[in-house]
Amino acid sequence: MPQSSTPRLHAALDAVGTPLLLLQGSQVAHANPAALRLAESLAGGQGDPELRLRELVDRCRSEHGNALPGRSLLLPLAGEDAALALLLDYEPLAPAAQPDGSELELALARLNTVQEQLVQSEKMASLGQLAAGIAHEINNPIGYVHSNLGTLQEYLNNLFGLIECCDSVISQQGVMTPERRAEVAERKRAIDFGFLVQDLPQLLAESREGIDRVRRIVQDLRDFSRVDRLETWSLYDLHRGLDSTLGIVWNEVKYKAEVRKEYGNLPLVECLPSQINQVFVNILVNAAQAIEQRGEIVVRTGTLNDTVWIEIADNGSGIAADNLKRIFDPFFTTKPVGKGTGLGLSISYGIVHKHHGDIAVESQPGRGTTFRIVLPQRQAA
Amino acid sequence: MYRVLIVDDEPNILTALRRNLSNIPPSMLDGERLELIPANSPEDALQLAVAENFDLVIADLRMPGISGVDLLAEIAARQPYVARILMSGYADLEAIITAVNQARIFRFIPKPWNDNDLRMAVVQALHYRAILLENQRLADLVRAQRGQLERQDAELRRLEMEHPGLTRLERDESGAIFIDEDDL
Repeated sequence: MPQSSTPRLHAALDAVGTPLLLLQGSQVAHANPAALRLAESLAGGQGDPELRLRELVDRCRSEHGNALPGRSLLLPLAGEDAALALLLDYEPLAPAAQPDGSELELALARLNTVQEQLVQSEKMASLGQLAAGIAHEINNPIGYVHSNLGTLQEYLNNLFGLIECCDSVISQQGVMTPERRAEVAERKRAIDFGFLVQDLPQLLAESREGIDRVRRIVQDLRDFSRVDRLETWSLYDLHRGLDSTLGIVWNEVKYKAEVRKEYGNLPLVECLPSQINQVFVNILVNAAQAIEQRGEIVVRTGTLNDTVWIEIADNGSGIAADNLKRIFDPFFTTKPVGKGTGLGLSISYGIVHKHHGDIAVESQPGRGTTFRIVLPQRQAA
Repeated sequence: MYRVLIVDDEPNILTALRRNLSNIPPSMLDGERLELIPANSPEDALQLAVAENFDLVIADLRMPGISGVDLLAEIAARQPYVARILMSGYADLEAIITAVNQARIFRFIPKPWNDNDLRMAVVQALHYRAILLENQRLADLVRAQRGQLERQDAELRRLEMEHPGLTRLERDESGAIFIDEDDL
């Protein structure tokens, strides 16, 4: 038996509540405390422990036959309310096959998978909570574009009618009589031609703007979820991430706060873009929710040595000192039931640390809260 | 002239609604025309509602500061007979329940809306309001007439108490009073 593994084996046996004896040949190599207690009780507390253990083994053998099949046995002791387990010539696995970390690695991989799933489901949950705002942001432009198209159709019908009227006047032989002129003028008045000429370009411009807005929101959603790309470490423009994230949460933010951007010069940063965007969403939504009436959210960025930093500051209600210590704890939330999972910031913390960065918070109740995220520009190879 | 207040924080919605609603033919509105008054914020709408009377208010649900539900409830408190329509690009069940229970809206119109449905809703809301007002006017009339009748009855009873038989006087064609000889 390799020397190094013996103490570990003994420690493991000692932790077991069942009386256990480790036998090598006919020698008792180790007895765990439960076995010692059993032996003591059998001998009435008399005699040498070694001897009593031997008696115990002999008794087992006599009761269950000398030939003990297998390497470990659990033997009920007749007449006693106990059982004794024997480990015969037990050899721990050879060093090469020992728990060399492969099991640990497996567990770590499994943990990582679970964390990925947690991040993903949190992202979906926050998207779900944002769905109302996003639907509102999309349905508003679609609403007026759709309605404008209906109006456009009416305008066109009127214009076609006018063209027909002009056509018929022109195709009539002879000079342009005042009556014919009046006919066209009357037609123009009936369809409110002056207004139509003025309103039609405006209608088209507004509709185009509406379609642009929908397009932008869909683009933002795609940037946010990155569903069109495999989630890999890539060089990402964090300003673009901030902008598209602001687009996603705009409906939550715009009624609460003015957003001021103070962007510095940022290099591309090696990161998992959709996860970093997820961090931005969590902090921005929290910032908007912290503002009761009307406030301001400032988004600042900059570089420091080999790192970049992003600050998101609100002048909302702030966080009480007691809560501040716990905001990164999983399932800690001060929001009403159904409004927050309590996972947003804890997952954000996990994401930032996965990037070998740091996330810190400063808050004064009544004054506001500032989150500061620091990320390395490049991940160590 | 029906006065319609339209409230939305999105200017393009206001113009689209104006285009859409100004096309309602007067024949559908008992020959009346619509006057459309846009308000770009709930605060503006409230100020207008303090100063002027409206026949109908159409408001968006999600607006900065004051929600459409609160705005409609507030205007209804000042002008109980104004018809109320709520619009929204998204509303959960809870929002619709409060809209019906608190703001007692006439219709909920989802965005994007169907132009014809919206026009019909506006026409029906104005009709409904006209019926309510007419109903109220008639009920007042009945009450007033009944009140007058009751006053007359009471006066007659008082006179009869003071001068028994006075209310039962009979006159001949020339206006002279008949006096029954038995009463003398």
